[in-house]
Amino acid sequence: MLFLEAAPASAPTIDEAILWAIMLCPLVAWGLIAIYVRKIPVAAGYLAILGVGAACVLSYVTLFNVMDADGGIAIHSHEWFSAGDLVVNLGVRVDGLTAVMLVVVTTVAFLVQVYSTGYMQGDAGYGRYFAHMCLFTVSMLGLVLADNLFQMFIFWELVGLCSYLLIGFWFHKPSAAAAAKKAFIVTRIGDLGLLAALLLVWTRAGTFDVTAIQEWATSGEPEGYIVTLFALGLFAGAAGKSAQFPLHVWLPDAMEGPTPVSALIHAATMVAAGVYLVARFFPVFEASHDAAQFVAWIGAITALVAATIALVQTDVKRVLAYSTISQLGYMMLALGTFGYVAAIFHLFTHAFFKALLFLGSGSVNHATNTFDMRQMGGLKKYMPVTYWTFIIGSLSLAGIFPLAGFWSKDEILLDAWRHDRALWAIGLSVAFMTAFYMFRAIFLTFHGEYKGGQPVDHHDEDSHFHGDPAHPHESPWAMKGPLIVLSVPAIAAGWLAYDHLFKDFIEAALPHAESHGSTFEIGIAISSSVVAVAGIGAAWAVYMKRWVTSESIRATFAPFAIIFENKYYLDRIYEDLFVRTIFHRGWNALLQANDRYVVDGIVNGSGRLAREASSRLRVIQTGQVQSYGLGIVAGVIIIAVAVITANPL
Amino acid sequence: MSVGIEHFLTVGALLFCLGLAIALSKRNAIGVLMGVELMLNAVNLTLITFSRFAVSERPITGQAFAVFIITVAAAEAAVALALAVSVYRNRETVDVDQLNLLRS
Amino acid sequence: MNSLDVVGPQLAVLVAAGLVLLLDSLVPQQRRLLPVVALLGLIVSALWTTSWVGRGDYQFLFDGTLALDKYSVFFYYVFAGITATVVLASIDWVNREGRGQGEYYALVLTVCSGLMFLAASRDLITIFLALELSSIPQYILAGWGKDSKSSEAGLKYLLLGAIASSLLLYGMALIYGITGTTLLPEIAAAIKADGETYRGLLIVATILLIAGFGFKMAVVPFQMWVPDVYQGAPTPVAAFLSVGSKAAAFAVVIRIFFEGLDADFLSDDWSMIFAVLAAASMTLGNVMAIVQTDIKRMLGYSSVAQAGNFMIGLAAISVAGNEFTLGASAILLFVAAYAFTNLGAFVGVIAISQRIGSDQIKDYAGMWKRSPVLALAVAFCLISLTGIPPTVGFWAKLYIFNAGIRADLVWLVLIGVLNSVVAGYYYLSVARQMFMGDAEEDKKFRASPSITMALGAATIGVIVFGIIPMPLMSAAQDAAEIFAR
Repeated sequence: MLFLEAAPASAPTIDEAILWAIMLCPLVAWGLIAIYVRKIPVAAGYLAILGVGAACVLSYVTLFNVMDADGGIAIHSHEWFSAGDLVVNLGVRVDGLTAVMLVVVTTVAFLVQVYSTGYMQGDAGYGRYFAHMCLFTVSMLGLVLADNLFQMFIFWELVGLCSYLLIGFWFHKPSAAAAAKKAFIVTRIGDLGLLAALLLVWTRAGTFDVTAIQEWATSGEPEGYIVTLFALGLFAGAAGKSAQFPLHVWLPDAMEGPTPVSALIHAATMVAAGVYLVARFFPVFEASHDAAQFVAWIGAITALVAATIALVQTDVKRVLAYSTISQLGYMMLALGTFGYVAAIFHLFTHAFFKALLFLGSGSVNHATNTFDMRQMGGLKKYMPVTYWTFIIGSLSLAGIFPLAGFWSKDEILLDAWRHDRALWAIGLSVAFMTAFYMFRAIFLTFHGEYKGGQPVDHHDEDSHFHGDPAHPHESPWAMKGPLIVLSVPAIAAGWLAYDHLFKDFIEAALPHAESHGSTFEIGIAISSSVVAVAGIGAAWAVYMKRWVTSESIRATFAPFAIIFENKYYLDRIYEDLFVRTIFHRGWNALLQANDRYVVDGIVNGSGRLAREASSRLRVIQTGQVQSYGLGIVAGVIIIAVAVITANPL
Repeated sequence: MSVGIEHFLTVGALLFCLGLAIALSKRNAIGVLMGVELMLNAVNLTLITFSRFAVSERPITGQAFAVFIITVAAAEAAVALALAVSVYRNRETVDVDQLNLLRS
Repeated sequence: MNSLDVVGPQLAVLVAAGLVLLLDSLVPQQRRLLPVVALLGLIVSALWTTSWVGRGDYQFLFDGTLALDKYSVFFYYVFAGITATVVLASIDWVNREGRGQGEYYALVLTVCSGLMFLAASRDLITIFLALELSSIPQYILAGWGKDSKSSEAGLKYLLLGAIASSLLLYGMALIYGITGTTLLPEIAAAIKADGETYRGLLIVATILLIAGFGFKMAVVPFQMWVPDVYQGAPTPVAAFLSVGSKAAAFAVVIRIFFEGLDADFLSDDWSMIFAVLAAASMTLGNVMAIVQTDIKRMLGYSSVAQAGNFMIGLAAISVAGNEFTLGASAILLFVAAYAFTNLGAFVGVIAISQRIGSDQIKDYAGMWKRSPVLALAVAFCLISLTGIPPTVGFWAKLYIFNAGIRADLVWLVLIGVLNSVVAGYYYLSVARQMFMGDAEEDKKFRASPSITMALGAATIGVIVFGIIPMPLMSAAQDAAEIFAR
């Protein structure tokens, strides 16, 4: 064991053992659950909570240690493998970025585990569920802690594998199995890019070390196009995991997994991995402006596309899924416009309010046995805690002052404004749509009349529903608790922007301490706030008006009826003509075509090609000894001719 | 014209090709085996030729090699016949083009 | 006497073979002891090998025709381990088959001694003899089963093997004629002195050698026997073929080409041949494996694809003269990793097929519920074959790809990486079948103790060296050291 790098001057005084323990705690829990307690489900839940909880505590310890050191970097690295001049290390790296990610991952994972003990109660795969969740957390922590690209890649793939297992958790449901497969394959397409980047850096730089790669990319030693290719390879991997256009298609389908899984995947782990990767290699993107430009535009397109789709979804979970994609687009947009701090800040705040929203939707599902908003309505009075926490999460997501989302979204828009007005305009329109669709969801779900939910089908063995959808009730404390706890950071996490607290902390992780912009600017703040409020107002006008048009009110306020009718008519135009015809048939059809023909086409096409080729090749495998012998002789002759032609005597 | 190394080598090469042609065309497994024997004998001829004409130092090596090849060929032939008998018991034929239970 | 000491490992194995035969005919009621004696012989052999490592007394013997160096020692261990695993995995099958138990183990041990001689040979004659010493018993073993498929496999293997060794012998004869010697170092000296005038003949000879060994290594286009013979031969024998003779063939190819034929005017040619054959083997093997429904056939094609991976190492050695040992040690590491992994997979197949009476992949469905430990072990081996951490197969692949990249064979490595993805598809679909599929019946079962031991040893090797690869790696690097220039 050798220490490769002495810690820099302001290194956090943090014991290496603690860092490894962060990863090991959930790993041990996973091992115990996998080996012993599959039969005793209750123990599995508690064990998982214990393991992730311990990791969570240690992560906070790490965070405070790093804060004490003003965000200094500590690296502990050991030689794991060496072949010639290639050395692969096994190491951990801690800096501001890592510490923030650790805290986000473990906090959300911990709360999700607690929540899951309620949500997954009575499921046949209870033990398996917690084992997978633990392993998922481990992979994510390993990814964040890794000090070299190689180790990162291993955990990166492990994250992919775990997501496959969790999305396909109810694998006897064909839709779940298909969704898991889709997620696995689509992210794998992106991973090919990451693998190419890995090979590139291996051949060109001869190292996998994060610091060394950052230095290599910024040193000006490699040709510009090499750095750009490397950056684009990294981004391809990130686009797969973080669901960027056009690889976003797996994420909405990933809703087939249990809802807490969606919360974990969307808020803290899998989708954050891509953003983290780009942020980790941020200096590489700075060194290649072409790559950064590309990232920014893909991010903007993703944000826009996903937001437009979210407008017309009827499934609350899908609204949230598209909203996640849209917010990830924001983060990439920020990274592409060199808003390193803004992106991570948004990742940080988004983790909390999006986890809150997902858990909220799970709570609603727990009461109504459905995610279809058309079967809900009026849940406000049955589920006050869920309602109010959902409101908090939505306001935060919409970017309303002074909630968390306001601060981070603002920084992103500011960076976009400074970089490119077109990007800023897209960002602003997305902000409007975000506010609109979130409050549309709230009005449809919690306001109005309750429409009865989805009746329980007692013949459906896959159904895990207990209770009566006709009489919805608030969820148990195991589920309410995490909602309440999460609403605190959903409100307050943004206040860390005060006095550049978050910014200074995060920026220390970069090799060069030049400032990356993004302070507060009142003009941007006002414009985005106005847009967000307008979005909420629009949603209110459209969807609450529908309530207004109900029969009794119509009789009382007869003179206003025509206006309401007209409003209703506009609403219909909006829903039917504008949305359904233009968006659904046109825009969405285009997106679906991308989904079906481009993505599925590549996936199925390559499979079909291989099968086709092998059935053709089977012809030579006749079973005849003499044709095999002929093959050998023909091989000899062909090789001889080829060699002599290529290199004449 | 005296008979020299080229002639021996040419005969060896031709013999090898003939053996190969037999091995790849005879239907009967025993016939294939005889083709292989012919190839091995071609190798022997080549080795002996080299040791007689081309090698000045320790020419015995080539001859020893040839003797080993003869021995091994005998062992191989014995095993081949045993396997052919075993195939014949199962299938009542030793035609190699009938040996196609295992394919694709 | 000194010389006898030096061939001790082989002698121990051969003596054990004789003892097994004697015991079988003299004490027929004690058949259970036969595998024990065979295993003891292998253990003695390994201990003998270890005793030299302790003495550090490396030498050439029998006029330099056999080498006792770190390189052969590495392979002695590998072959002893492989044979022991095969013996363990055979016990159930041989008991059920009933007849000729003594002969079976004796033949297996003879093959082992042949493989060991092959790894140590430095002379064309001894190489040929060792090759046949290992091959002829393999032909018999492949045709050992009573059914017509097995005897067909044996005869096919023999006929093609005989053609391949004729080609090999003709190549050797040409080299002898050009250089006037059969000893590898002398061949190298002669070729370097005035070989260039005979370049055409040397190239033909080289290609004939590649054909002869390519047959054993199972590389395209000399691979067509592989799936047929694997499918027809008894499964323990197929396991032996897939690992043992392939490893030995690579061992001897490294020696022949890099001790005997490493003149500059030649190596450019065969490095290119190796690279192209590597690409072809990987691609063809993987593409064909996808559509297989019989697991033994699938493993046959996978073994062709894996031979392609091995060959990346060969191509890398010859291109990069100065980083020569990197390519050689890559192959050695791959040999060891592949031995663990592929044996594990085959032993798992033996265990499962014995119970369900089928080699069809679809019948593996739901194995996880019927025999969890077995399914898990097989899954690890499949993961290792794909090259996914934390298994030894991952490091082996990484190492060999690294060797390729250092030799500027980036295109070849890219093909290798793409092929790994394809390979992952069919390896993991077997694993998926075992874990996600629904079993037709869910009667639980356990593998027999001997098979459990064999599978356990292989799987533990796969995982332990997957997490701590350094010991295996330094062993491989040490062994490749003898080629350092």
